[in-house]
Amino acid sequence: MAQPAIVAEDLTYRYGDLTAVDHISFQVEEGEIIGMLGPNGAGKTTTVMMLTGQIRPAEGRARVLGMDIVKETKQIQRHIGVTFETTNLYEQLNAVENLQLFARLYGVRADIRDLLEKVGLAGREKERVANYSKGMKQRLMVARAMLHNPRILFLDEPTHGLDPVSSRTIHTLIQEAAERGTAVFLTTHDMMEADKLCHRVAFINQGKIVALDTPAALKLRYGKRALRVEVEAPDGRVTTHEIPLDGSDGIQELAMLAQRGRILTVHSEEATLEDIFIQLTGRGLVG
Amino acid sequence: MIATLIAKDLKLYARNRLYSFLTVFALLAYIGIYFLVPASTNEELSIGLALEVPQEHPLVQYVVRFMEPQLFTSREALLASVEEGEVTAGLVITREVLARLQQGQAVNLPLYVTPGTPSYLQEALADVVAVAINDLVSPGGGRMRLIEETEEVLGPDLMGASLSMRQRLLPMLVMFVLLIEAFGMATLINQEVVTDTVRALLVTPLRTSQFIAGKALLSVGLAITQVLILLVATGQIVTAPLQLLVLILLGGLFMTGVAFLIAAIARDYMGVFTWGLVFVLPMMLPGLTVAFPGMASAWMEWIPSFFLVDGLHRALNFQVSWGELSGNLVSLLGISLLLLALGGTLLRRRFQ
Repeated sequence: MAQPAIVAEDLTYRYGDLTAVDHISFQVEEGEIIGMLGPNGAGKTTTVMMLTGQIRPAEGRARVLGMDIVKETKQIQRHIGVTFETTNLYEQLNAVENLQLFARLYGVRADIRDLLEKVGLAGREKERVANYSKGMKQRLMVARAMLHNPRILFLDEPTHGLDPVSSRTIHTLIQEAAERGTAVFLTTHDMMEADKLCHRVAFINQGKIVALDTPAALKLRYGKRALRVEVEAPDGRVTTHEIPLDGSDGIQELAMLAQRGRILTVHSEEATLEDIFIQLTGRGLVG
Repeated sequence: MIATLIAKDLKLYARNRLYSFLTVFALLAYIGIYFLVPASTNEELSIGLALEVPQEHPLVQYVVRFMEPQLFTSREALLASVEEGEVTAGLVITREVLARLQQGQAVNLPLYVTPGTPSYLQEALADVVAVAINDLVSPGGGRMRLIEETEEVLGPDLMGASLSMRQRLLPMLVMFVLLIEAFGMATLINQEVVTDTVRALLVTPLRTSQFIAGKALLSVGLAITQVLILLVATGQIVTAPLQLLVLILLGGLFMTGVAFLIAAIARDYMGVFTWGLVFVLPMMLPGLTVAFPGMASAWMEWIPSFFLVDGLHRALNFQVSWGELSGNLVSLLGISLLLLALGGTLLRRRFQ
């Protein structure tokens, strides 16, 4: 059986008196996309920084690809790719020069043209990065993280503030990487993104993981199983009906409503990840 | 990996128009300044004498024989010449002065000196005049004393070859090049921190020690190159090539340590500028002890950069032996290693 890509046990980090990450434990498998959802300051970035060897945990331990994050940092960093919350590219260099620099640091011969094609920067590769839009810079950062075919990708808010085209490009890259067996550790406070991309999501609030499961399982556990139906009566009056899916014959009720008038809309009352987060923590994902 | 980093930094350095311009401009300016300042020193002291009495008078004849002055026909002509620096000092002998001297009475005899004449020289000139006049009015006036003088110079005898302003200025110009380089390197490192690119580098297999080593090698390399250009352009590299190379290398290490300290302490560009002034300005002061020896304070010799500027001065201008230079070299090496260790440690802490 293949070893997990990441195993974290009681991982803790403190900034002075503030406990930013509070004894969190989780596991990520190869080829899995795990999303860490939480508002700003919840501890997402600090967790990434510990797992990528940028800071040392105050307590607990973690193994990345079977290696200790404190003792074998540099060995781990050969096999991981990281994007950061803020853009940190060499803006006076062009895209090719940026990628060549990091390819040399990883000691790999990368097909830079192909990579730039994939992130939609072909044709602009000779321009200085300073002239790029935010979306282009973010796509280049993702390309830089994937340059050496890492076994784990840590992506910190990779689509924050991006246009839909850039977001979609990055989503495709993430999914393709996971299909090739790369584990993806994604932090975001965009629940739509997490819902769409992640195999599992972890809700983190005030440094603690309050829930960790697949989006579907979370919705099942915490959401309301019901249908909301809008019906237009023959006299033109529109009424709304709720049909519970548990403990009743929903199909029969729906058929009765169809006999009474014209069904305009049918919506699942399934909870969103944001609803569940609020339910669990008493606060929203933004802010 | 270190070579990759250096290549990247050189590319960034070249693409930063401000850095490139300042580096080239400063180097050309220093070379220009070197050639603009005087290459020789006037070692002669001349005295001017304006006579309002007949030149044939015996007392006047005596003064002329004793001082060998340049004679002026009027007081105004003498004063103008002194002010222009054509003569170092000047005296005016009036009828009243002559009469009082003949009667053995006290006289007030102003000595006019060129602006900028050092005080010790003013006093010496006044003493010469006083001796001459006293000798003249004393009973034995005009007779030479039977004293034979012998002179012994301790250290290099610069009689007839005293150091020109140009020679005194060169060590200070070398210091300027190195200090500007320290400023540039501190800015370059700070830029990596402010733009967060250092984090991107350090999550790769690159180690912090390799990052710091790359910056140090680039800094020392740039410093050596620029100083060598200055010394070659001024033609002074030939005076003591090996000693100068060793001094420049140590100077480069010294300034790299200073740059690391500034970069580790400063939070942003403004911080680099402020801390740069705090560190770099005092480091320039020892240059004054060489360029203007009579005007610099003794405490300036306690500033660490003194060992560098003094070493350069001695190697460039006195062609001293390795033994005579060893004190400077050992002190400079010790201070440089200390600064590099301290700056490197603080930088490492900052990155973590």
